Amino acid sequence: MKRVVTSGDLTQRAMRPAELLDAYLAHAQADILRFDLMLGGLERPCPACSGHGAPEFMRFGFSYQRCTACGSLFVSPVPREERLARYHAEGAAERFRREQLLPMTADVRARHALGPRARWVLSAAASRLGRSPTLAQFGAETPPLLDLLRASASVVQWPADVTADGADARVDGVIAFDVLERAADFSRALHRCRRALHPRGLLFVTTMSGGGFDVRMLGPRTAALVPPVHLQLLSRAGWLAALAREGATLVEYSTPGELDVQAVADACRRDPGLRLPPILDELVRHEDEQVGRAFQELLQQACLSSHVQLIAEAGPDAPIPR
Amino acid sequence: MYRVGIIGFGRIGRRRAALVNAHPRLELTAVADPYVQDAAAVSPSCTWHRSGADLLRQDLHAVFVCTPFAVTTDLVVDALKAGKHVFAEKPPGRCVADIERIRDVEALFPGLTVKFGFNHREHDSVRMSESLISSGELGRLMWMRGTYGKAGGPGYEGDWRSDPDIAGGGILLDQGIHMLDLFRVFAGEFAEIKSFVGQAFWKVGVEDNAFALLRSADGCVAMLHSSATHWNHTFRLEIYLTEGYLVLDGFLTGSQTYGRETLVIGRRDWNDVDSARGRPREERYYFDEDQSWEREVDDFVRCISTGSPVVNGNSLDAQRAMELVMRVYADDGWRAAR
Repeated sequence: MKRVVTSGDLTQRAMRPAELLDAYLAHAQADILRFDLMLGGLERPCPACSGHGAPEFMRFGFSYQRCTACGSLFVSPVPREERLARYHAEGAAERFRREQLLPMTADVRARHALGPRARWVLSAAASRLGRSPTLAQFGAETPPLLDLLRASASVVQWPADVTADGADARVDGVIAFDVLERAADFSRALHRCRRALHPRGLLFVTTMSGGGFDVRMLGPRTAALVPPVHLQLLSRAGWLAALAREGATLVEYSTPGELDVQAVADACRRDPGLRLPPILDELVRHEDEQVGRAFQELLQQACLSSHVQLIAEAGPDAPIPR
Repeated sequence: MYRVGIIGFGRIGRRRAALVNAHPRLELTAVADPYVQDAAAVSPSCTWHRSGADLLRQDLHAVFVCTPFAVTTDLVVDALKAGKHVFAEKPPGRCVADIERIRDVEALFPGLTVKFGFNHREHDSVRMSESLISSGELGRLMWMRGTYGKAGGPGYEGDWRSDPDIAGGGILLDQGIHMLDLFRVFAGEFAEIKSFVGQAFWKVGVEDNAFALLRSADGCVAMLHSSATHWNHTFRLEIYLTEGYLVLDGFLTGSQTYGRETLVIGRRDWNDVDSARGRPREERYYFDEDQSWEREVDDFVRCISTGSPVVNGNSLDAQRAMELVMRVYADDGWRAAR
């Protein structure tokens, strides 16, 4: 098993400008009410391991539960799929994200997210899948990412919704960047990804972690946490359980997120009522910024940053899709 | 199932025995070592011999030669003549003539597999580096700087590895040869060599430090420091290419003293302000498992069963690595006190 740690100059301010993020969250809260997302919501056990959930915190009216078995964080009751679909398709928040937030942060995302992700996929594909692998990407179409990938691999774009129709071929690698956490039926979404893979094919996932420093320190105050988008944030143990159910194996698990410490420090500055354990407060708000960077790297080394990237390998006997 | 014998049952021989016992296609049938009598404890069905010659008379498919360097060559040659496939630890003898003799005999038995234990090639950090370099995404290889050192430590002066008659050379031949082999993996053959070789601390008949500069025909320069006075055990290989760099730092070994195995990947990016200041964004991979030994044995078994040639650690690799060692010695006029 290998894991990656990144170091660089990424800042919370550049990746998530406060004024844009605040506007986006305001839209999200309005859309939650507009589409009545909690109406008829379904109680559920842990989507990763079917374990029991204990209430952890509320955010925007959503109840986040912590699985007592695997430690994953998940929303329950979970909104109905049709309501979520309307939120994503018609909501002001998603439109704002597409038309304002992403374009305004495109440069920094290209350098710190898309480029590294493309290189990560291509490197793993080259060493594990051989030359000229066929890849398919679920999720929102991201032309810069596709351009980078297509320089070295054959890549097709599949639906934004993993469980939607239109992805019946089999490929060597499935890319699911920031999509599995938003599936109302996580098990079906993961099964769909695995079913699309040839035996020994690879599933590339990026997502938010339920065990990350940011969300564990801040809980409902986690700025990056948007309930209709983050319906399940699996822990490492949760991923192991979910993948095992699909006959897949976790071959790489890293949390190369660079922003936890900055995000927690920002939250503390913005909310004087927020109290961290004193020594952690001192570390995240240390006057020497190198201390914060070192702390962030330590979180990455321990796989405790909030941004996860993982690779799972399909088993040798993955069945032909029906 | 291939019946396997191990000649030399010291630390490395025992490690090989564990690998053989764990392999589904290998059966440890015989062990030879004049000083060890607990082979049965390792494998109850195992026959124990006092000499390699005795073991080679047994009906075996393959042998692992895990002996001091002075006897490696004769045993590999005798094993081939006895019709056995051979896996031998590095170095392949004590001089270039030794490996040339092995290759001469190997040529007489084209159906037999001969592989040498250059296991560093099979480490994850090395394999990932090789993949990145061969993909071309980091550009053209410009230079490398490799440090491989250990402390020697208590008992070093009395160890057979410090005896010039048995070992043939010092730290460069024993450990530095791995770094030279990796230089070859990444840069190919070297046309020129400059070196300083000598003793800085240990009062033994072999070198305890070797510094070398090597240049390939197409201009790649590699700098080596192989040391037995590196009080903090160190493995570090920096590889700089026109579009980025790789730093292999730490190495998972049996002793667990070379630190965590990591690979840093950085890219030249002059469009970024911080990069212009010399602090580019880096990705550091941590590797938690050393599967190099298993991969070597797997590859050996695969070559035996399919008849395919050895790609990593064949006798030509061994000869070229040995030639580099001897050229480093020769440039500084160094001779072990044999």
